[in-house]
Amino acid sequence: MTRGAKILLALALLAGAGWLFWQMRGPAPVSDSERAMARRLSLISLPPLPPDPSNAVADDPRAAALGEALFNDTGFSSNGAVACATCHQPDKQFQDGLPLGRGLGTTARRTMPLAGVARDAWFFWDGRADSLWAQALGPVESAVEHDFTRAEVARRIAAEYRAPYEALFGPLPDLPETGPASPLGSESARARWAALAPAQQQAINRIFANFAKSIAAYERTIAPQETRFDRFAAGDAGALSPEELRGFRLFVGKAHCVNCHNGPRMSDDFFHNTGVKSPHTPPTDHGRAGALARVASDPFNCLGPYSDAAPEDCAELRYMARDPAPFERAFKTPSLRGVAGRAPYMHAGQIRTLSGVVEHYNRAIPGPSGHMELSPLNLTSGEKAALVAFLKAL
Amino acid sequence: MKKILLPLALLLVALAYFVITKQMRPAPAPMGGMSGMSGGMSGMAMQPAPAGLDLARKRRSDAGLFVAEIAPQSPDFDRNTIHAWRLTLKDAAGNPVSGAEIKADGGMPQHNHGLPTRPEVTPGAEPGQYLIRGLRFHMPGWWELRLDVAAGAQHDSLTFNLMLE
Ligand code: HEC
Ligand code: HEC
Ligand SMILES: [Cu+2]
Repeated sequence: MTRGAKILLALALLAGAGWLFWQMRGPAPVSDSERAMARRLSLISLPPLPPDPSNAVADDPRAAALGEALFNDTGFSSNGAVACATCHQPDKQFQDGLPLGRGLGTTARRTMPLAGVARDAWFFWDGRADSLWAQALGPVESAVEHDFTRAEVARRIAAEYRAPYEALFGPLPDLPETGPASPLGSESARARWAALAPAQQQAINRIFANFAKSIAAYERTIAPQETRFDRFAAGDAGALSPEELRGFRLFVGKAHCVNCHNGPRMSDDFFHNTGVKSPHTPPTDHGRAGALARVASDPFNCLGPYSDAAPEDCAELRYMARDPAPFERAFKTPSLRGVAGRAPYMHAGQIRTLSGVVEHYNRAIPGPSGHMELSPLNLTSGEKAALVAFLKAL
Repeated sequence: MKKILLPLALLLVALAYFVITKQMRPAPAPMGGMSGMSGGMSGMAMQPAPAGLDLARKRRSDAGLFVAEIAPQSPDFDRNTIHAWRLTLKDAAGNPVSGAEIKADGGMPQHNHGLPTRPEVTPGAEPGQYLIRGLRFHMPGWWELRLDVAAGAQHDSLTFNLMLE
């Protein structure tokens, strides 16, 4: 062998050893700042459930028990077959696994999971309700969900739930025999509503609100569950595989997921346009932009006559940004807890798999309208797989 | 034999380079450069702010008419919950300025969005004191808080930079 060949051979051996070393080394140990970040995303950092001043029975266990019964009662629907639990199924993280919800018809958006929902400030994909109880009124009178009316809710409460209701809210008034009546329903329901005296309308609205406040008290008990990621954050480094750890690092680093999916529920409880495609052209759903005026004028909002809050308790509504333009097709950031168990994804179930979601963020293509907040991530296929693996540990 | 030495060497170097860079990429270095506020965490999740960003909480207005100082009402405020900041306003000579009309606005320049709320500035108890109410910063990173001040015939603006985790 010549001298040159010997040197080359030595170099080759060295390179080979180096290569083996890189292959075999585990992931870098978890640093203190990474651990701190993990803790901020973990249930360890979950503060106690904040009170809801707009709902006087929010933390009354009797209201929660009544609310659970109401949540599961199919009697509050025009065909007697739809309850909240039809779409929010307790054994499926309180959602239904469908791209669009199915009640009396098909909803325009995907059913949202409910664990930890009571911690939010805004409800629905567009935040058009500012309390959990104001939210619960919507599906009851929606033609594609319960297709019921508030007047029928009041009569059913009086017929089936009088004792538990009166224990919480005082004696029920005498209720007129109206049939379906509501200011929002079909033409005939609206005509029957208009025929009622204002005091009767208010009495019905009051019962309708109390019905919803009981349901909200129940929903407040639906807590997020501890997951493998929480064990990792608590100090069990082995709770995540090396690939999941790599995914965690991308989530809080290069992929910027944590810009929006932040805090122990991995949501900032705000609205963003992330370029998600619309099932309709032109898009019929304007997201948050379409909800601002609605929530501001909702008689059941925090400042309205059916709220138990003092005006100074209504900061979110009072200081709400009201210009719709920046919120065109902005939707509420979903919690990512348990996300692997509830495909399909996004507000209308547009994306079928988690790898599809990661690819969506990687490409960052603007949606049909509004200003998209994302930019392309340039992830390698290994990085994409790691992110997906991490999402499955949540 | 000798003829293949050079290409072999080049190949080896290329291979080593490829392997090393590929292995290094997935462990992104923390991106920092912010002053910790609520918590004192490294800001690995955030885009770095432009170098030399002035994070002073006390500054002169653009045309030099006022000096304003801001501070969160509660030092350990929760960035993503509606909260208030105190504002102290003085004129160039250092006298407190009361009764000014002040508008607060802002946003995240790197994300090209505004404030998530519509804050209000109300007079405080002491001369030259105000409260900026209704602030909420829903994302970590670099925020601008702009104040437009009108005191009598004097109009001026100023922009604070905040790095929030
Ligand atoms: C037909 C299926 C269906 C029924 C029945 C239904 N929901 Fe929903 N739920 C949905 C859909 C779809 C959304 C999202 C709708 C939107 O954003 O416009 C939703 C959203 C919600 C949210 C908002 C969650 C969040 O994170 O903002 C809550 C809370 C909720 N529903 C509770 C209820 C309650 C309580 C009832 C019964 C009174 C009910 N739902 C009945 C499908 C349903
Ligand atoms: C700019 C804010 C923002 C960033 C950054 C962001 N997300 Fe999201 N995420 C959202 C919003 C908003 C939605 C709902 C969008 C919709 O339905 O139109 C969402 C939806 C999702 C969903 C679907 C959840 C469900 O229940 O439908 C997943 C999974 C997800 N994001 C993961 C990620 C990952 C992983 C990253 C980083 C690569 C990331 N997100 C970055 C705001 C963001
Ligand atoms: Cu932002």
